Amino acid sequence: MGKMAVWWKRLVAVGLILSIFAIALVVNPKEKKTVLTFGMFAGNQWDVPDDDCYKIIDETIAEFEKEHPNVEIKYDSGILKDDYSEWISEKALKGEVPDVFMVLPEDFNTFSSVGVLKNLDSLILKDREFQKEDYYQGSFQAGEFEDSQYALPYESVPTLMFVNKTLLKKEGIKVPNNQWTWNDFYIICKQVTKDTDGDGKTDQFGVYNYDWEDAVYSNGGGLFNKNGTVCNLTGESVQNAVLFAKKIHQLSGYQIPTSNDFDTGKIAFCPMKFSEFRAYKPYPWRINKYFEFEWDCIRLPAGLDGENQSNVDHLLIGISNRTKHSQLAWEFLKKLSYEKETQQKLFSYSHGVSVLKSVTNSKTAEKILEKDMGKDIGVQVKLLDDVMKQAGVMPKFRGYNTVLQYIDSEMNQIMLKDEDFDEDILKVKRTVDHMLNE
Amino acid sequence: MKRGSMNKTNRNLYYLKIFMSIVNLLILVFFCTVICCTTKHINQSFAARDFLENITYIPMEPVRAAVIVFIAFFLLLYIIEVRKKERQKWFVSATIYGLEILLCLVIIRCLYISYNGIILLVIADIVTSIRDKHNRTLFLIIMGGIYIFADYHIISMSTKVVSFQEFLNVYNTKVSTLLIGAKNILVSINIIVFITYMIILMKNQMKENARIALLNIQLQTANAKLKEMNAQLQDYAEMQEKMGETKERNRIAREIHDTLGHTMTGLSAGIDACIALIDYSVEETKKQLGTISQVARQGIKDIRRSVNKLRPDALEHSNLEGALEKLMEDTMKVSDVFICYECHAPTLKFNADEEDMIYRVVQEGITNAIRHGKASKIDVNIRKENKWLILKIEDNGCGCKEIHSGFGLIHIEERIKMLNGNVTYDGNNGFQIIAKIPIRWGENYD
Repeated sequence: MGKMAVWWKRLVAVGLILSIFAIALVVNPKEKKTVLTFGMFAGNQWDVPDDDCYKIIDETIAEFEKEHPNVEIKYDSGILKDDYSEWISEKALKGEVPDVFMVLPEDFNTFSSVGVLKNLDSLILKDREFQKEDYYQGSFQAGEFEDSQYALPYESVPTLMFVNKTLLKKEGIKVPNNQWTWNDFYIICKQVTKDTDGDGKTDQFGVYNYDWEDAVYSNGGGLFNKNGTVCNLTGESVQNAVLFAKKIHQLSGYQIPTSNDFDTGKIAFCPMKFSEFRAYKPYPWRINKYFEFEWDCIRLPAGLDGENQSNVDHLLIGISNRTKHSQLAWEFLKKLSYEKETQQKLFSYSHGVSVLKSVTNSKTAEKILEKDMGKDIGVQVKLLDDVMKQAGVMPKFRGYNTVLQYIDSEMNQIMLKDEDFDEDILKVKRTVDHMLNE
Repeated sequence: MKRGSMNKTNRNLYYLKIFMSIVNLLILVFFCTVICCTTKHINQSFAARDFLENITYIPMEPVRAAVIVFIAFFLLLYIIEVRKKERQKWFVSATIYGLEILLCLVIIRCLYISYNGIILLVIADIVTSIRDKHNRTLFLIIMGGIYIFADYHIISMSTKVVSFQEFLNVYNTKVSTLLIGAKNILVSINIIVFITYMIILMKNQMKENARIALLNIQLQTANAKLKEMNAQLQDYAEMQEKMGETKERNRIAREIHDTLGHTMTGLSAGIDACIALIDYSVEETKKQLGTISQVARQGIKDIRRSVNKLRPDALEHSNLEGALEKLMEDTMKVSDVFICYECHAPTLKFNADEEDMIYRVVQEGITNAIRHGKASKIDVNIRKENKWLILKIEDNGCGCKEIHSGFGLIHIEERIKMLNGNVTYDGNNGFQIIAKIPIRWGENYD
């Protein structure tokens, strides 16, 4: 066995040496400056025109680098929102996720579940200055998954109700106040839905794009239980909401309003994101879009069992689970999400609402809004504050988006059908429950 | 010849172990390649987001994981290679065992618990390389436990880990089936090699056991033969002894016949002559009686000479002191008793019968102490007190509660009484004989 043994030994030794040298493949040469990477997409989450998307980030980075002279923050610019999920996922597989990065709501559940996002609980616990009460509860909890915090909110965008003031004035209807109900809503819609030019076709509508989900939010109903194991589709508040949405849709008969009808001012109401309101209301967009009529935004109508509540979208920022500089990353994340100066800029350069109570509810914010939109506007800081305070918390679990998509498509079918409502909805609930527990 | 065949099987085992290492290396290469290529494939086909949606937990960076796997694997081979050389101190070997377990766990972890066959390689090494039985059992139990519980489905219940299957789900059914097939073939080869290894090892062990059994039988036969021979030898010795006794008896009879018989015959004849003569001539009778007296004296001389001839050999060749020392030395040589001899008398020069008696008493005392008392230490003490010689023999044996005079003690008593001495025994603490003998110091009998 002599010769073979010797060769085998040599082979083992060579293998060992080669493997050890291979470490060099993995370990990068050390750089003098600590480099923190940041991941973000161009534009914004709400698909409204945005020219200043890098402005806040650039300024914040400059400030941060000034405070930490040994730190350099790098980011890749020009990644589109549509490519962003894929881009981050690829980076995750390569182990190159940016230390701090923006998280789209549809990615949040998956990313926190599979360990792309770092669990922030210990960092929050360690940081004595950090008080989660400074955030709007809904915004803060948007970054929560399975009772742990995985991301902090950066910007929130509530859904409001667009009101065509010109149309209402023409019909002799007062603009509803912010405490209006489904009943008020239904009456106005019924009143304005008519054929104005007498060609037998309905050409003026009550509402555009108001779907069953909007109704569910304002009726205090949750679609799922907290853990995402059971769906509440057959619950009374959800059923009532779906029935109400159906009733509203049926007002216009088989004539379905189009976006052109909306643009030309033939529709009284439309749920609208605050970002759109913010983008199109001021100059220069005001002369480009919706310029034929006066318009404003109010809160959504309250349901039988709910309040004037609506959906609020959040843009989240998280830390990579594999970051080597978790404390620095946390500092930077705080700088973006928790610092008032940064958050203040959201009102100037972005289209969302700050997630910090003290910023949204401030005189400065009020002034900026006033300056951009004019004084006679219904959307004041007070309204935003109320909406943000009421923002509900979505249940979070993996596959939330898939399930929601499925429910949405089924619901839209049910709403078009006239009979078998109860059976159909029960069938959907069973399928969904099965999907949830798979 | 036997050594040659042992080496051959050992060599087979060694080759099998190398083969197993190579198979394991191939399996690791296979896993790492598949994982790396799959990751690349995912990134190239822009399926990363979908992939993340469908997996349990994000995998490690593939190249890094591969490097870690190979470092761990070659370290493991190195340990296996080094361990068989020499025995280490316990803490060194404990560290090595710990490291081995750790490396196995690292490899299993980096392959996302989809392959645990690496443990078979370690087990194959343990059963041959670790000699210490307890260590080996403990280590085998630990490794067996890891082998059983290092299963993806068990681990994934408590920890989130991506599975190999989830990687393969990226491909279409055909490719993923092909890859799984390849993986299963490699794993099966590894298991088959392991089983072969174990079978050869077992056969080896069985052969060894058979050899030992054969040797045992041979040993038993030899033992039996030896016993038989021993018995024969004992018989022979007894016979020899008896023959010696007969010879001695004959010698004594001859001596008695030659000396005493002759003298007595002469005396009786002379006395008869005197009886007849005394009536006729007193003078003649006196003369005759004078002759008879001379004959009697001659007879005594002859008897003394005869007795001298019957003395113990030792005394015949040397003086009493030398004979006693020789007796003790010989005794110490043949049994593991320690004899302490002390003599506080100026000289040990006595009459022949006295020397005889002292020698016999000491001899009997020592024999008794060894035979009945099972003593390991005997003290023999001789000292002079006025006209008395005091002989003390003490031992540390079991003694005896009641002194029932066996033959030996009676003998001693008789001999001492013949010399007007006395003897006392004490069997409470070991056994003690104290003999007091009146001695005619330096006085010669004739």
